[in-house]
Amino acid sequence: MFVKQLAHLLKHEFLIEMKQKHFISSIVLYIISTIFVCSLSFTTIAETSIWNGLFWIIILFSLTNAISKSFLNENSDKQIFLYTLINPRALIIGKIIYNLILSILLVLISFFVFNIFIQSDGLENMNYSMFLLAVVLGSTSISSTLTMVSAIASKTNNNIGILSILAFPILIPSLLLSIQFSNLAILGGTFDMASQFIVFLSLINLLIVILSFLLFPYLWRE
Amino acid sequence: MNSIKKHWWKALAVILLIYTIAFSFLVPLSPSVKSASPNSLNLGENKVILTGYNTGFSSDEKISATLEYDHKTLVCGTEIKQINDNQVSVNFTIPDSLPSKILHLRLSTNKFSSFSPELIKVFAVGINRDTTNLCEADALNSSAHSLDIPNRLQLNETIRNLMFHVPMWFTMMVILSISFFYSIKYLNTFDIKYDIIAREAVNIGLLFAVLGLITGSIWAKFTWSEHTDLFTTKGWWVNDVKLNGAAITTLIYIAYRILRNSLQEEHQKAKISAVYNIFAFVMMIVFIMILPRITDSLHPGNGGNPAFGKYDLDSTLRMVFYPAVMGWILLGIWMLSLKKRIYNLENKLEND
Repeated sequence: MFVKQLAHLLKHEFLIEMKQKHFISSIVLYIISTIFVCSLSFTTIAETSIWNGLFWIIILFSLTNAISKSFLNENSDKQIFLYTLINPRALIIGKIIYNLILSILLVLISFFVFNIFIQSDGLENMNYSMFLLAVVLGSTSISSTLTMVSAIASKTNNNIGILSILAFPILIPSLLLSIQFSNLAILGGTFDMASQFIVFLSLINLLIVILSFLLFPYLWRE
Repeated sequence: MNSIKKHWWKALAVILLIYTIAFSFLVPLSPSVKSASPNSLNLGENKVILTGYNTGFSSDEKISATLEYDHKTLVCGTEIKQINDNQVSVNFTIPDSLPSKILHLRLSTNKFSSFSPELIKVFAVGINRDTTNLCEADALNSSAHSLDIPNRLQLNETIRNLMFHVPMWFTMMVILSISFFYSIKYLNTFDIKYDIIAREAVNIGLLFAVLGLITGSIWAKFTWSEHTDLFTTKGWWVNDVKLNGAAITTLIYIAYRILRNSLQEEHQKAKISAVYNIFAFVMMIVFIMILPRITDSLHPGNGGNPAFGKYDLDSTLRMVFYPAVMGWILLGIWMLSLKKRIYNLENKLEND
């Protein structure tokens, strides 16, 4: 039952996304223009840690932009209708999975564009598979936290402003871990060295999903 | 009689805090040697001037100074002369059997005995024999251990801040845990009075967080930073994992207050902020518990440990630190109960 509802919700989300193609293209354009502005102001970054930090800041802001609308589109009539039909827990898990797919897509695009436009000298040793793992794990926790917090923020009038002040302090632990993890990947570390980052990031991700699963019904039931 | 049974802990809080404040401001620092010049010695005879703090040497006193390593007395000072209340000059003769090492200085008079680890460096080319005590210091009968606060290098008088800065964070964590607990209770019962407790606990927790940041900032300025000039922005903040944790906690709970203020309807406000409170508290615990384990910190007991090192407190500090923590926590809970009573009275006035 739960899985069936989840599948339906995901399908529903994708159909909406396909209907509103302008949304995803606007986010992609946002990412490309941000990176382009950065490339005009930096051209080349000598230190890899700054290159890495800039990359994560761009990811953080573009994901905030992309996910802030996840509960905005639901006007209240539709919310009541959905609530009568489905389990709210299926709804939040569906939203988290959908946002996860969306953000991994966006993050891969920005990684590609960022690599093209902004060069750094110390990137030859980079362990690409590990860097991608860091990016995927990091953006997972960013997107799931943002999904839950945007559900909270959607109840207020000033959605995106409230979303950032509520979410950024909570995001800092996983963001710091991801930045350190990807720094290690840039320096050419191996997976053995990064095991604690992988374990901690996965645990944080799991914790966020469990908390959202437990707490979301209270937000939904109004 | 009944009121004593009910309110004894408030009296306890007052007594503990008076004890804490009196102890931490009135008890002197133990006498200790702060610097030696020159602090690097060569083979042969070296004349060293030792500068102490609170030592109060008097001219008729008998003083002994020895250099130690690994519980063995290696060099005994000779021709010890008092220069003034806080300075003595000592001759150390470094034998050629001594290898290059950083030594600990022990200075005793008949009033006190002080131990300054890693104060003096020796440059010598010695064969590293398994040296037993090379010299026998005259056993001085330092009078009974008097009550004083330990005098540490670098910390000096600022060690008194331990009784104020550290308990602020303990109290904040306790009060925020109360808030977390009542938020859960609210979501189970939807009784608005639990939400009020959660809200007021956050306010009081924020107060303690700000006090902790201020005391910590002052402490950091005068111990970790070389910029001791008050009128500069340098040195008030260092990039340290615990400071980041403190700052993030403060940001999270300020955000909680903003969230509350941007919602209108009472029950919606209570429900949504309770959800955020639970979510944020758990993430904050993750931040405070996990990150210090994988990054290093300037704070004591770190690099693998989010709490204290057990060797950081001596018995005198323990005598006042634990009461201080208890006193501040009780004070926080007292403030919370007052806030609750104010709310109840206001509610009563509105209903009448």
